[in-house]
Amino acid sequence: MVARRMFLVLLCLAVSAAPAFGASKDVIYASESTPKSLDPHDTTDTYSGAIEKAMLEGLMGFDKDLKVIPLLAESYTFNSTATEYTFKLRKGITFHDGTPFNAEAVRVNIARLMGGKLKRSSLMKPVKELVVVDDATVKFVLNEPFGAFINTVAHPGALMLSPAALAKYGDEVSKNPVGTGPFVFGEWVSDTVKIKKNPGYWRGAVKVDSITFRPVPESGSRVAMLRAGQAHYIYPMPAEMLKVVQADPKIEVIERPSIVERYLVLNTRFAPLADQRVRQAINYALDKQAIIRIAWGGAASEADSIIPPNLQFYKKQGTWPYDLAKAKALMKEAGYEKGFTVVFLTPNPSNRLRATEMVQQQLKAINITGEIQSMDIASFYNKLEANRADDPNQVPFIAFGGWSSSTGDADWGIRPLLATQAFPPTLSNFGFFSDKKVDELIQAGLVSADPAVRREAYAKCQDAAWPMAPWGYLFVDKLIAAKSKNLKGIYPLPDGGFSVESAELTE
Amino acid sequence: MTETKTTPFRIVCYKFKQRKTALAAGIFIVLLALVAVFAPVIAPYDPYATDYGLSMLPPSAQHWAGTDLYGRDILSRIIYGARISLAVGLTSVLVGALAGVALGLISGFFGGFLDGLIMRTSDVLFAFPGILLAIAIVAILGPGLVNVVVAVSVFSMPTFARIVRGSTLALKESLYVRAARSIGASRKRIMFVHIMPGTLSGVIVYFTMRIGTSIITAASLSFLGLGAQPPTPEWGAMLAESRDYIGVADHMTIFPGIAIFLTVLFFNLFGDGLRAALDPKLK
Amino acid sequence: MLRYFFKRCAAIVPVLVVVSVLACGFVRLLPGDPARMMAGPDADAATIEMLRAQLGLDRSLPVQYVTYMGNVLRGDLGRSLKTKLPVFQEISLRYFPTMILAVAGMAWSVLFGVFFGAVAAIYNGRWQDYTAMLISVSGISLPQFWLGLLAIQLFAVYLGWLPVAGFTGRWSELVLPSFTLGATVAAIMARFTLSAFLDVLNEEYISTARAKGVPERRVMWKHAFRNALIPVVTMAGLQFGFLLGGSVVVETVFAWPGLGRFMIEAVAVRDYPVLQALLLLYSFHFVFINLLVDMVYALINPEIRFE
Repeated sequence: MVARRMFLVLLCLAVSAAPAFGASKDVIYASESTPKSLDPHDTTDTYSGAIEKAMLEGLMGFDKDLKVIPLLAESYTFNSTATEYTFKLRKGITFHDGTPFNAEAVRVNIARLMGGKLKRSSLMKPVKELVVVDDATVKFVLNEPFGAFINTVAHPGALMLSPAALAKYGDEVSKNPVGTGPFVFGEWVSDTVKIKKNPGYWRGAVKVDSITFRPVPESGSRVAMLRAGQAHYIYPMPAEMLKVVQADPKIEVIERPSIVERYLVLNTRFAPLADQRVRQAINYALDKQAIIRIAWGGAASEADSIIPPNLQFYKKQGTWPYDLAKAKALMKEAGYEKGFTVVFLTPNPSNRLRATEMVQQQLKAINITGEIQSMDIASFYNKLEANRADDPNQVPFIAFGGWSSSTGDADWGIRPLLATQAFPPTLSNFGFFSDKKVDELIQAGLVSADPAVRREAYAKCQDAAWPMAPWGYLFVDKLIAAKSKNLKGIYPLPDGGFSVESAELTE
Repeated sequence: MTETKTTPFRIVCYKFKQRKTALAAGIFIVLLALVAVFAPVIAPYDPYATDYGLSMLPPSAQHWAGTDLYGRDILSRIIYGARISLAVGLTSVLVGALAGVALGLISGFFGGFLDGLIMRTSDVLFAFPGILLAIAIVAILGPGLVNVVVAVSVFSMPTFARIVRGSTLALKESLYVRAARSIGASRKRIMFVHIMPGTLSGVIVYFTMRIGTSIITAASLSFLGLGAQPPTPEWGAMLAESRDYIGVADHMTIFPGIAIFLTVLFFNLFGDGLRAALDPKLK
Repeated sequence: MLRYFFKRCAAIVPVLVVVSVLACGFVRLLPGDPARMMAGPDADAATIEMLRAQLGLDRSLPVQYVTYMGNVLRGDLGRSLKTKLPVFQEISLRYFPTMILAVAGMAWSVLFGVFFGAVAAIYNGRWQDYTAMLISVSGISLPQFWLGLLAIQLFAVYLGWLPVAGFTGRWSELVLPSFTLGATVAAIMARFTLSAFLDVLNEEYISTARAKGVPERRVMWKHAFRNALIPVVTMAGLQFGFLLGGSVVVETVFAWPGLGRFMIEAVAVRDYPVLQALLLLYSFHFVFINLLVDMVYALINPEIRFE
C-alpha cells in the first residue's frame, strides 16, 4: 500500500543518497519556511516565490538591489498617460519542455491571471486587455493611469509558465512548474523541493547540478546543520548565534539590506495616541540602537524614513534621536505626564517578542504601561483587521508591525499603510492614520509614470509624514545568511528571497 | 513503656521514609516551597530590573547564575520562578483533580446513562491531541499563564475521572458501603463520606506525578510561544527564550533547565514513593 | 467473542461522530480567517473574498459540515487550503516518517523502560531499584525540546557522530529524534512495568513456585515476567497510539517531516481541511488501539465480555 511504496522509495533513496552526495554538485539549502505552492500566479509567500524564481522568469525582473531590469522582455515603452505599456520580447528562448517563448505564451499567462481565480489575479486588476502586436511584441492597455506598472510586471506573481504545461496540468501546474529559468523542477516531496540544472539556460551555464531546499524550522538545528557540514547555505541565519559561526573558519556570513521595515503601529483612534506630541514622545523614548543590538542581534539598521532605503523613490529623513528628556517634555505638554495604559500586541516569533518586551521596558520611563499579548500570526492579523475606525470602544494598542513592499516601489510601501482609504478591512492602515496632504501626495505618485514626477511626489510625502510620527519608528531588517566557504553565488535578495543562478560549489 | 499506635497513616509514613529517593524528594519539595514563599527575601536582585549594559554575562561572583538578554539576574528570576511554577503546577492539577474526582464519583456511583455520557466525553477529550487543545484554548482565550492553567486542567481531568471511577466501582460493592446503605444513609453521604476517602490514595499519587507533568507542559507551551508572557520569570519561558542562544550563552539555558529538571524529578520521585508507601502489597 | 467485538465497534461510532462534529466546529473556533491567511499579507479585500467563496468558507457551518462528512465517507478528504493539494496525499506522505519515528521511539522506551522497571521490581527496596527508577524518571523530567537541542549540540555538532536534523532515508537520522521521544515514554513504561511486575510477584502461584523449589531465576523470567508482560504490552500499545499522532516538539527540533509538524503548520494558517482530517485520524488511531486493548483484555479475562 502507500506505506510499502514509501518504504521502498526511501530505501532506494537511502541506498542512492550515500555515493551520489560526493559525486555530483548538489547544494543543500536549509530554510526556515516550507513551500506553499510552485504556481507563481497562486503564491503569496516570499519563500515559495523565491524557489519559483529559480525556475521561472517574467518579462521584467529585479536585480540584486531590487532595481527593475528587463528579463524575458528586451525593452519596453509607455505612453504619456501611463495607460499603455509595450514590451519587445527576447527571441530564441524556449521553456524547459521545448515550447517556444513568444507573445502567445505571454498572452496565455496573462489571460490566466486576468481570469480572476488565483491569489495573484489582483496584480492584473489595472489591466483592461493584453494586445498581441506580433510574435515578439505585446501591449498592455490599462484601465487607469498607473505609474508603477513596470514593477507589477516584475513581480514574482507574473512569472511565465509554459503554455503547454498549463494546458496539460491546469491548476496542478503547482506541482509541475515549467519555465525558462536556470533550474528545472525536480521534485516536491513533503516539504522538500529539489531543482536540477537547466543545461540550455539562455543566460549561460549553470554551475551546480542541483539544489535541495530542506525546511528546518528550529534555528538552533539549522545552525547545527551548517556547522556539521550537513547544509551548504542556511537562511535565515539567526543573529543571536552569529558569534558561534563567526568563530568557525569554514563558514562565511552574508549580510544584505532588506526592504522590510519594522515599526510600532499606534492606534490613533485611542485618544492619547491621536495627539501628535504623544506619538513624537514615544519616538523620542525609544532607544532603537539598544533594541537592535539586544532583541534583533544587531541585524538591523535604524529607520530613517517611512520606507526602507532600497525602495524606489526613498528619501532619507534622518534617524529619530533617542532623547528621554524631550519625550517627557512632550508628554507633559500634551497633558499626559501621568501617562496611560495600553496593550502591547505582537506576533510570537521570538525576536519580535523580545523587541516588544524592550519597548514595554522603555516606554515605562514616560509612564506608558501595559501588558504584552503575544499570539500566532493568524490571530495577530485577525485582531488588527477586526478593528473599525468608527468603533467607539477602541483597543488601545501599540502593535509590533512591519511591511515589505513586494513590488519594490514606494507606492506599495506607503499607500496600504498610511492612506485614508487603506483603513481595515480594505488594506493595512491599522493605526487609522489620516492626513489630507499625505493622501494627495500618495495619489500624485500613483497616477504618473514619469519617474521625475513620482520622485518629487514621494519625496514630499516622506517629508510630510515623517515628523507627524504615525508610527513608533523602529528599524529596517538586515538579512543574514550563512554558508560554507566552498559555496559561492547564492545570496539573499532584499525582499527576503534569494538568488541561486550563479551558484557554484568548489572543493 | 509508652504505647505507640500503629495507625495506617503511621505505616504509610514509615514505608515512605524507607525509600531514600522519596525522602530526599520530600525534603527538596519542602525547601522549594520555602524558596518560593521567601523569594523576596532570598533573591539577590529584582527579577524585573533590566540593565542593557550587563547583557548575557556568564556566572560570576555578583551574579551566581549570570544575566539574561536584558541584563536581569538569572538566579533571582529562577527563585521567583519557583513561585510561578509551583503555583501553576499546583493550581492546574488541583482544578483538574477537583473536576475529575467529582465526575469520576458521579460516574462510578450512578452508573448507567450518566456514566456513559461522562466516560464518552472523557474519551473524546482523551482522543484530542493535547497540543491542539492547548493551542486552541490559547488562541481563543488569549495567551498567558491563566490560560495555560486552564489548558493543563483540561488535560488532567479525564485520567482523574477514570481513576476515581475505577475505585468507586470497586468500593460501591464493598461491605461497609452496603452496610451504610442498609441503615439508610443518603446517597450524597455515602459518596462523600464513605467512598471518596477510599479513592484518595490513587488520586494523591496521580496528583503529585501530574504536578511534574504540568510544569513540563507549561514549558513546552512556552516553547511554542503560547505560555507565560514576558516579563514573567516562568522557568519554561526562560528556557524558550534562551534556546536561540545555545552555544553563545549556555548559562541562560542550563540554569532554568536544571531548575525544571530537579523540580519535576523530585515531584515524580515523591509520587513514586507515595505510591509505593500506599501500596499494601509492598513490604 | 465476535459479538463482543461488534458491540465495541458499535460503541466507537458515536465517539467518532462526536469527534467529527467537534473537529469541524473546533477548528473554526480558532480566531483568524483562513481566506485571509491564504491571500497573503498584501492582499486586497477583493482577493480575500474571492478565495473565501472559492474555498467554500462563506457557507454556513452546518452546510460545511455536511458537505465535508459526505466527502469523507466517499474517501475524499478535501484539498489543503494552503497548497490546494489533496489532503489524503499530503497525510500519506507524512505518515511513514511519523510511523517510523513512533516505532523507533517505542523501541527505545520499551528497551529501557521495561528493563529498568523490571530491575526495580526484582530488586525492590535496594539500590538497584532506586537507580533504575531515578534514571527512567529523568526522562520525563526534562522538556523534550531542551533534551533534543542539547542532544544535537553534543552528538551532532560537538562530536559529529550523527546528523543534526531532517529525514532523507538514512538510519542515522533516526537515532537522536527517536531517543528524545523515547526518553519520555520510557519513564511511563518503567513505572507501569514496575507496578505490573510487583502485582504479579505477589500472586499466589509465584509463592507456590518458590515453595516447590523452582530456582529464583526461573521464577522471575518464566513465571513473573511473562505474565507481567500482558498489561505492559497493552500499555505500550496505548502509548504507541499517542505517538502515531506525531510529536510536535521533536519534529520541530529535528525537522522531521511528520504529522506533528504538519498539524502545527496547518494551525498557523488555519488550514481547516488538513486540521479536520488530522483530528479524525488521531481519534481513529486512539479509538482503534483502545479497541485492540479491550479485545486483548477480553481474551485473557472472559468475565469482561459479559459486562
